[in-house]
Amino acid sequence: MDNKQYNIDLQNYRTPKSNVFIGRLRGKKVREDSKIDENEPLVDKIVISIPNEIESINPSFLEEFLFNIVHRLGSAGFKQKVTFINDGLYKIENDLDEAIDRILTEENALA
Amino acid sequence: MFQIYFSQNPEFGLKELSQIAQVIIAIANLGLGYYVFIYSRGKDQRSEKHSSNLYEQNIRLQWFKELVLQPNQITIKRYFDNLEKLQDLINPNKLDSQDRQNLSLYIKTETAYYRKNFVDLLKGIDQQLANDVKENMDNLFDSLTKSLFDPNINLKNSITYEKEIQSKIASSYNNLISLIYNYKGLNAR
Repeated sequence: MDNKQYNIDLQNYRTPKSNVFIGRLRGKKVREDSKIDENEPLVDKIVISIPNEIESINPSFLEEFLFNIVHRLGSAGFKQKVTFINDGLYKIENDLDEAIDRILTEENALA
Repeated sequence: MFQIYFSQNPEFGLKELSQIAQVIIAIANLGLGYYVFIYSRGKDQRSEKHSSNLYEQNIRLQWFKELVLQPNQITIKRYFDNLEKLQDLINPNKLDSQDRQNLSLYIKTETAYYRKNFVDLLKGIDQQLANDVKENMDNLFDSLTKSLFDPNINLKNSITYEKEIQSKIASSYNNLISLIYNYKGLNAR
């Protein structure tokens, strides 16, 4: 089977001189510019690269960036399909779990 | 027209005119009575609806106070008190990338606890209030993160710390109090 992969390099969406990704507006902008929502159904795997110099990606950013695909895939499906790559000091796991929890809680609140 | 009618009906006099006038007055009275009836009924309905809304609003505020605010005063206090303890965690001799990561993790852990135990609770009560409180939380969180990882900001300096961290925590707390104080219990979720 042909495994299709979609790569997103967050380096392309960095604010110049900034070493953090924060804020809902920024998350929305990166979601739209990276076309992650449109490409997700077309591929088997999404790989998101985090530049080594990045020191934090806050849940406010991730919540907006990943809102639609977490909503679509659920927590387990998302973790199966989306991989983050980062060789720097910053580890995304805590922020990612917090963002997924926020998205799914929001979904339940609006149901 | 009346002249023609009178000339053709000489028996039509003041008496008949008076009778017509009485009928017109009776119709006008009836109309006025109906208008007063409709107006006062509408006013009563509006007043009844207003009283009912006030009653519901009071109940919502009472439940908000008893079920959300009072039990979670400790959660709110814990969050802001613990953020203020950040200064104690900063080593005055060294603040490298790993130290900043540790401080960031501390803020994230406290914020997640506050979000799960207080902010999320508001969603079931008033979505707008929940959004505003969450935005206030995120603004503080993002602002602290920005200061923490800005290489040009020396958080070991007490004046810089006050400006970049302490004042932002105080401002966020004041904003939260303002949001809670201004909640009128008007909107159901």
